[in-house]
Amino acid sequence: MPQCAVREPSRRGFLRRATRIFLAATLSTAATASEDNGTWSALNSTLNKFGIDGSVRASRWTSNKMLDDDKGVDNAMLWARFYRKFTDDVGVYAAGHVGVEDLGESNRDRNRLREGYVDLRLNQWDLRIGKQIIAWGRADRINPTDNLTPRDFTLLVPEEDDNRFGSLALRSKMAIGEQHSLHAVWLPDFRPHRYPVPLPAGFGMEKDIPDDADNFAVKFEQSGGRVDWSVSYYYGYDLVPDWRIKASALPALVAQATHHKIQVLGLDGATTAGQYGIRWEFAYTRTRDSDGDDPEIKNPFFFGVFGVERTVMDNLSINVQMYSRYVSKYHDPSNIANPVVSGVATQSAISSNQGKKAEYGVTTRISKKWWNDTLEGEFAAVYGFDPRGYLLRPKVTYAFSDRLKGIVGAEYYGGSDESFFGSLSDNRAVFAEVSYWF
Amino acid sequence: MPLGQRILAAYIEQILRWRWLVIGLITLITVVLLTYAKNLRMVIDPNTMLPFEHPYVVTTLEVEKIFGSKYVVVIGITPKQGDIYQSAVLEKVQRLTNKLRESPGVVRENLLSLSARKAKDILGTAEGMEVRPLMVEVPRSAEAMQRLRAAVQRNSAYHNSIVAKDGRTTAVLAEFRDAGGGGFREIMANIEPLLAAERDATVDIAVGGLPDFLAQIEIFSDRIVWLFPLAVLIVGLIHFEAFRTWQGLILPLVTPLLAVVWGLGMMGAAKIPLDIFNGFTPILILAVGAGHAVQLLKRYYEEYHRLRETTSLTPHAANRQAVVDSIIAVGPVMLTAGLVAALGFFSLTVFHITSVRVFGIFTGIGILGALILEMTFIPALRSMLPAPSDKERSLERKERFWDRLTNAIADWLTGPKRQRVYFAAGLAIALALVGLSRVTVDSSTKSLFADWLPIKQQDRALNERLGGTNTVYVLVKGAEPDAIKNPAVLKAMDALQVFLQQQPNIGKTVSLADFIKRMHRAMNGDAANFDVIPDSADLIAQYLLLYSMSGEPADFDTYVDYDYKSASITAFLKTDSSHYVTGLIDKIDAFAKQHFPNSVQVSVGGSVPQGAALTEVLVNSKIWNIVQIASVVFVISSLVFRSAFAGLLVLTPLLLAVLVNFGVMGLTGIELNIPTSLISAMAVGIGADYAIYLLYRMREEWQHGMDERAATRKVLATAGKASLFVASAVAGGYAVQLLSFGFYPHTWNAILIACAMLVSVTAALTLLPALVLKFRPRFVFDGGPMQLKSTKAATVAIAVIAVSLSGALQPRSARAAPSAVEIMEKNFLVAKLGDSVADATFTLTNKNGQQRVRKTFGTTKLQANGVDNMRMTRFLAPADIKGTVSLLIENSDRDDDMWIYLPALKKVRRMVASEKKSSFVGTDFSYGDVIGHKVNEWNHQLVREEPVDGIACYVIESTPKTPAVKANTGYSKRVGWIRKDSLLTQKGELYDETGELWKRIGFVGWKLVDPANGRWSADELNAQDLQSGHSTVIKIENLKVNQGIKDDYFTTRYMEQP
Repeated sequence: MPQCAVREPSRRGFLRRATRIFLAATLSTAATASEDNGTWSALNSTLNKFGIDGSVRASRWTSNKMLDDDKGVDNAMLWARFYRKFTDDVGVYAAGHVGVEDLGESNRDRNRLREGYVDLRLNQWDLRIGKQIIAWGRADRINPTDNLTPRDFTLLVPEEDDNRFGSLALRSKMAIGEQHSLHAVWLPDFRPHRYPVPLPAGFGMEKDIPDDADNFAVKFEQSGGRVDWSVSYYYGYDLVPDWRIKASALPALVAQATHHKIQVLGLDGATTAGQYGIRWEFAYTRTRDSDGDDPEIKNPFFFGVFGVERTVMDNLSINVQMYSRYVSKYHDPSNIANPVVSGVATQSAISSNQGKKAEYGVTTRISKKWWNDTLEGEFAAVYGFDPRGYLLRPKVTYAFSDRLKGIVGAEYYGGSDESFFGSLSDNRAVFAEVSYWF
Repeated sequence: MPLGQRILAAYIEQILRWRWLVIGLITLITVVLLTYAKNLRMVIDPNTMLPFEHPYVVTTLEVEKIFGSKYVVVIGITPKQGDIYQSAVLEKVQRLTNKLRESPGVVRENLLSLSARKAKDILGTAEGMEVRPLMVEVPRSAEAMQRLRAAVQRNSAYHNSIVAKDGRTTAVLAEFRDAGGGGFREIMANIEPLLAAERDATVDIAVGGLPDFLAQIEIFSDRIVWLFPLAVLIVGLIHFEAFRTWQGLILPLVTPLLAVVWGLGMMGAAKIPLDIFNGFTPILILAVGAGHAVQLLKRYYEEYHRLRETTSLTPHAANRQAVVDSIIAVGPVMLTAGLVAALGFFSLTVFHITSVRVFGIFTGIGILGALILEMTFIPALRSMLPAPSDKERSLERKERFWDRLTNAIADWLTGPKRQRVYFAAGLAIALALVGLSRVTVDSSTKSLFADWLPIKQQDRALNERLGGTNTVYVLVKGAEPDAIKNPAVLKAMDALQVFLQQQPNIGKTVSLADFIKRMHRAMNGDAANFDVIPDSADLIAQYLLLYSMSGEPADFDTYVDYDYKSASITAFLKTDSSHYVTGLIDKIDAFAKQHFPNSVQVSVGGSVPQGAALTEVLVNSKIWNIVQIASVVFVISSLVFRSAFAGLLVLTPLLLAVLVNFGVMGLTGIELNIPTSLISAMAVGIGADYAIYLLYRMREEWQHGMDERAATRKVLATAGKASLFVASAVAGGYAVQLLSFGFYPHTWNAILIACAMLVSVTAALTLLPALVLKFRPRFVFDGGPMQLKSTKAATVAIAVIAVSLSGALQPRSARAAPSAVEIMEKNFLVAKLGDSVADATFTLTNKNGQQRVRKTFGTTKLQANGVDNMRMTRFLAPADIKGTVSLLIENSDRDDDMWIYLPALKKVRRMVASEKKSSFVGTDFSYGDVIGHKVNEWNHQLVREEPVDGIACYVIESTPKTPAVKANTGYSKRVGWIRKDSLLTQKGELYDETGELWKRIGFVGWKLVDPANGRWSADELNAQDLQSGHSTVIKIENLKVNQGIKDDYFTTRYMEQP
């Protein structure tokens, strides 16, 4: 078992102060300068000339995503990215954010280098070396094959994919003809998802993150022609932890997040038929607990998504998907005699969507743009039947100008306590964000 | 080509065009359903079979509710030497009782044996009454043993129930609440180790009772697991013999196997376990599915031979065309026949029995699944397989037994010997009627098993030694509490018990009356003349009070309810024949009317009456079921052929098959019971196909103007032969169930289905054509164009599938005026560049004058056909969409392909590109405007000529040819001012779907950028939305053409760079 290393955000006072000063200055100016004026325009074009762009964002959320009772959270962040192409075949990219969450209260730092890599192209080979986000899967937002790099589910961002961040990786992509390619990924460093877990009352929490990984993945893909599809395989640590009682801490009750290796065999595809888009994605995940008798490790499971989308009535896009998770070798954690082990195993099962042997659900995403893409509305929902749990995400984005954008929306989690979404009901929030892009 | 066939042809073309997608999707659906099918279990839950409103069932449920369960396991222990009064034997009883008490699901308080707490000895003493357990501990001394023997002797309630009259056998009776998730086999599996531990050379331990038989049904029904693959093998081999090709072996099995997976998968998904009815579903779907597959394959070969012999098509092209032609020819009839079969099974939903309804629904779904597969997966697959080789062709066509047989039949039918067919049919009907009169209706769980099976032997032994292993309950129900304490009621109960014990097959009865009598006698010095019910109600109440002082509260729970309002008499039967028990219940009813006071109601229930109820309901439903399926077949066939006579003709072979089936049952002594009751439904479901295929083909051939003999020969050699293959294969497939030794439902199935198949195919091949030739119905001989009548219903169904699968079909009608079309065709091409790179700046201005700016870097390349472009557009500004890349591959023969890379998503996403009216990245141009509107989708008219900015222009009005084009582009009219010199568009006006002027577009600064090919490009494009006041200007800069951009640049690989 690799050594445990607990990472907490470093609290560097200088950076925090600097960030705050910068953000305050930027936002106060941006709020009054929705149109380009001389100074801003010059600064923007200078930054853009150096390959830098980004946004300054100020937001208010009625709740954070930590499952605590912290209500009314003000946040300020600077997101920036840099790309420079040295030749046609060599480029460098970096992206990250700095900022403060819960401004004026707990002042949590939100600083992260999301990506930083070098791109190389050698004839048919594309190599990307460095910290990078690798997102797999063709289904809409629910991706059974997306197991390579993590997300920070506690980050307060209106755009769901902004919570991704990279892991150190070497990605090789070999093009075979015009439509096919073979991907190979080696991830020597492991970063798990970051998300809150509602542990039973009285429990302490500890993370055990393996610091050596050697995760790897391969994928064969067709992209082009009538059908896009891929077959993939991942061997490496599970981004979602398993929870167990830390024996050495007894009699104190400490739940320890541990990560076990998994193997994921996946296939996905997308095509169009007339005016319909069709997507599917399936994965079988084999865990270390192949017999299903260890309550501290997830059981092997099958996870599939099938969906159809269509755009109607001028830009009204409707996507509907069905998903199903099927846990083979399922054992009901509530049957475990020891109530302490049962409590942690149950919570672990809920956060891994393994509370039931089979779970089914539907997702939908309906979006529409008005006024030449100035106003955009989106309603996304996920509904799981048994256990009943759901997430509703309405969101409206308005572009005041090319640089100033406002977003208001909500995240509403509900359902039974046995469901993943139901367990997140403390994270229900309404949010508003103003961003200035440069 | 008639409309129906055109739609069918268009449909099948779409299937072939999307064959990979079709195969992929079907495979995907099948894999998903397979995962559900894996969860299926064979569980017999008698509750799913019950007609709940039947009075016997009502009483049974009431008795169960008040007094306990009907699932009683009887364990008999018989010492090899001597009687049961031996310590070793009684120790076994005690151990078994104790272990059973801990067994899961057992009703502990109702456990009965010599050592059970419930078994009490009632004694009169000086102080009153003493009630003590019969056997607290196993007697060790002769004296103690004698005391036990005496106690048993004086308590007659236990005679023949837990101790045989001759004292040679003792029993343990264990009640179970219900089967639970593991079925009855789990109950028995829990009991078996307990018995094994006690079995030795000194005793014989037998087990019986309803749970044991139900467990055995579960176990035997599991044989389907090996019977099914064997049936598949047999069906495949018969097909191989018929076609003599490997494809003939494999292809007709693909459909039914997938359909079986679908049917079972849906059962699994609905969490419905397999039981005695739907356990047959797999083989049934296999039979029906194979039937359609064979017809289609036969027709495919026929069409392929024809195409190879009469055209110069290559084998590959002939293969593809044969797939299309065979679907056009057979598709409608297949849908009709399949629909008839599916509706036949769906009609089983009128049964009052859940299990039968489930069977009907799932078989119906399986058949519909087979139809869908036959219309999608099989043509897609067939088109990808290599065309039959010449060797295969010759093997398939070689004349063999089947051909000689069908030719001989055709010669009979068209010759003077036709009368023999009527004679044979008459003889068969007469024999069947004789058999029919001898059919007996009797249901018995025991009769499902052969006598030589251990379960039957043990049951027989138990019934010989004890009162019986089956139970009938008589429920006596008063209106008020304490009604049962009324001496008149108890006396009537006692009298009924005496009456019952005089009936054959009843070995024992027990009720509260036995205990009252025993108390009365005990309290009167054990004098034999006090072995009666006392006359005084008070005395009875006192006895019960005395009993309660030393007995236990739950002792009488099995016999009377808590407030003495209801009581039960349990009669132990040696048989579970529904026929016997129906007669018995009539006698009980008559007796009760005569002997019981009016204040109480008497009704009968229990496992055997429940079986009788089920049988009664089944027989009634059965008649309705046959009438109903026959009506469905008649109505649909009449509608499809537009002739009631056709309906009758289709019915003829089926009714004959059903009649002969009953005849065979009567003549061979197979009883009409629960399993056999479903066979006629199956036979009708499968058999209707033959007649429908035959009639279709007859009409087709006669309409080709062939003479009678040649047409008959052709019909029988094609559709007839295919029916013969199918019937033989189905009969063969079912016949494997004969190998399921000892379990009669499988044997009956094998015999009766094989018989039904042979009768219906024989009738379809002989009687049906004979009747057609004799009566010469108009729908065959004078039917007019086939399309108009017969295929309408089927084509409606196909059209629905076709539209949903392929989107709107786009008919190609005649061209508009050539000059305008020519102008537009040239206009369409004149701005298409070989390849190009350019920067573009989009300025979007709203009605208030606010502006937004988007910058792109775009690359285009014309594809080899000179019409379709490939376009890669990379957004450079504003910052929030910077890095977004779209790739559009135009396809003039199908929908365009489109991908988009969103930097936030970090992946390339395939999009639907066919929504041509959507705004192009927020501009006032639509995607359709940017790509160019396909010339052949519009009607063009040259309305006038006029100058624009001093340049002479044609004014062309274009209107959409179809509503689909209008809806897809969002325009009801486009007016273009086309320069006469270069045929470039100078300006245009676009009208919305309501006919209102919507947009005005213009082009500025046309330049000849590719003089060699005469291609032009504008410096600026502008568009004004006249309705919203919004406008767009696109400025093109840094344009370079013919840069030699490689094709592989237009792949998703190049989209992912930041």
